[in-house]
Amino acid sequence: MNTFTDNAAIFLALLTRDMKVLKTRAHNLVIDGLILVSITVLIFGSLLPLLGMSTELIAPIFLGNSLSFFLASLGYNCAMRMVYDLKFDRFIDYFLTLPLPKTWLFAYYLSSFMIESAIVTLPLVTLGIIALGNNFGPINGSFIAFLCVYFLALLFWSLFFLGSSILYSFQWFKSNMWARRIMPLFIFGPAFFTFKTISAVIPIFSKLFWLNPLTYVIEGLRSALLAGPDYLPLSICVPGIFVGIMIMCIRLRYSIYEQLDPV
Amino acid sequence: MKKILQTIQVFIQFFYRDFYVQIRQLPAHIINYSIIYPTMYIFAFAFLQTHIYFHGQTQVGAVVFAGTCLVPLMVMAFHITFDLLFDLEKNRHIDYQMTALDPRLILVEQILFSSFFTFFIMIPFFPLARIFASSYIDLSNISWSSLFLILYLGSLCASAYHKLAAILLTVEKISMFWTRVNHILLVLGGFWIPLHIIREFSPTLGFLLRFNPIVYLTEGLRQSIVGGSQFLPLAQCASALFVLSIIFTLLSFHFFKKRVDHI
Repeated sequence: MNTFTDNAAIFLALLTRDMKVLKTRAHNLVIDGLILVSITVLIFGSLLPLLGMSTELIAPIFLGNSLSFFLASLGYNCAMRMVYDLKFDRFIDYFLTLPLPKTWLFAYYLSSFMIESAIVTLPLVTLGIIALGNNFGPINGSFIAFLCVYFLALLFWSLFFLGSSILYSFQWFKSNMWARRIMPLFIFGPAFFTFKTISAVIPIFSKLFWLNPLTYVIEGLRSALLAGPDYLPLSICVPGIFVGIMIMCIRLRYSIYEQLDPV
Repeated sequence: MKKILQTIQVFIQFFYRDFYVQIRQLPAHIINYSIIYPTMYIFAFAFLQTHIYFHGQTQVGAVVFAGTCLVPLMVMAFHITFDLLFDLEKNRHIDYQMTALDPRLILVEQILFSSFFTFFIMIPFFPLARIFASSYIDLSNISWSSLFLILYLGSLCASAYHKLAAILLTVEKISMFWTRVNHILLVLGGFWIPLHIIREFSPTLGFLLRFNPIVYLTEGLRQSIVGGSQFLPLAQCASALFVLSIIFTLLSFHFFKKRVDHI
């Protein structure tokens, strides 16, 4: 029976190993991120306003769509590695034989994704806000609140992708994940628009958006950093994100027992 | 004469073989790219975007919506053509095929098959928009014959381009290829923003985008759907797409020989 210290030591050793691996591909991740941020700044900051989009929407869309899309892309790549491993390499079998409780093992997977995403996305979001300059508008919220919601957003995405990578087969994941899981989350959530603008256009149908956990994640990020009456308040978003996280935990637990069956 | 007939026969047999291989995935592709993507895009980019970004200006809505079919089209062409890459790195069924048919003809067959398959999957995209979104975006000037011509030539060009990419790349570089090449080509190729707006913003960028093959596809679609002198003429778009398809195919011949012929 391992003590807490033994478990923590193995957990940290695994994380350290991941950070070493991350170092070797960090430059590629940063280049990819810089490309995504530059294009987003150009499209949402300069070109769409030329077509008539209100400049007031630039900041919420940057935080909602771009940051979440970036997290989803990173999560998808991470999950793809996991799905590939489960189908071909089975490196996970080695992890399952480690003297580490399964809860710790999957907490390691989640932590690894969250650390990697935070290292890559936080500087890029800051860069994007600087690049947008005056177009971004005033920041009336709090950075600490933003970081807290951002942490919850990372936890949500990591649970979502880890659960999906274990639950679905390699072929299904490769062919259908974007079309049937990720895209509907974005389209039926306030990624491209704010929730209030959507409910002004479709007051009844927008109620369905309450069922989408991404609504709370995105509006929470906006509300924390930008503040104001244009976004759902944090008092609604934070409990909403927690509910989303709980659902994703149950889904992950189900998928682990269904697919991996670690006795 | 007998040899030519024999070659044509083998060419057709390989075409059938590709058809039988892909038919298993056909229902999933139809659900994803002919139903889910158009439905979601109509909801988000024809209906909501026109109302929220462009205050109900139906013509601007149509201009923006016309380019959104790029994502399913490119993803579909990628799925079909990249089978060659996986085959080159694993099963090498291509080695057997080359004993029966000239390698250049195999590539032509694969490109043509991919273009027909992609075109077939993309056919419902705009008719669905016409049925469900004609009150939100202005589709009254649509010319169906030129729209389908451009859509086919776009599928052909995307297939030839992806075939070339499949020959040049390795499996590990696929995600990088999407972020660093395809994402830029798509977003700056008119996914949302037409060329004349980009030219207005930056004439240099507008000039550089003349070398982006995707621009001719989106400009051709916009010319077929909305019409007007602000978009590139249809003949120019159609001929550019056709010429670029031939260039990509010739480059595929060259690099395929380099990759397969070790002597």
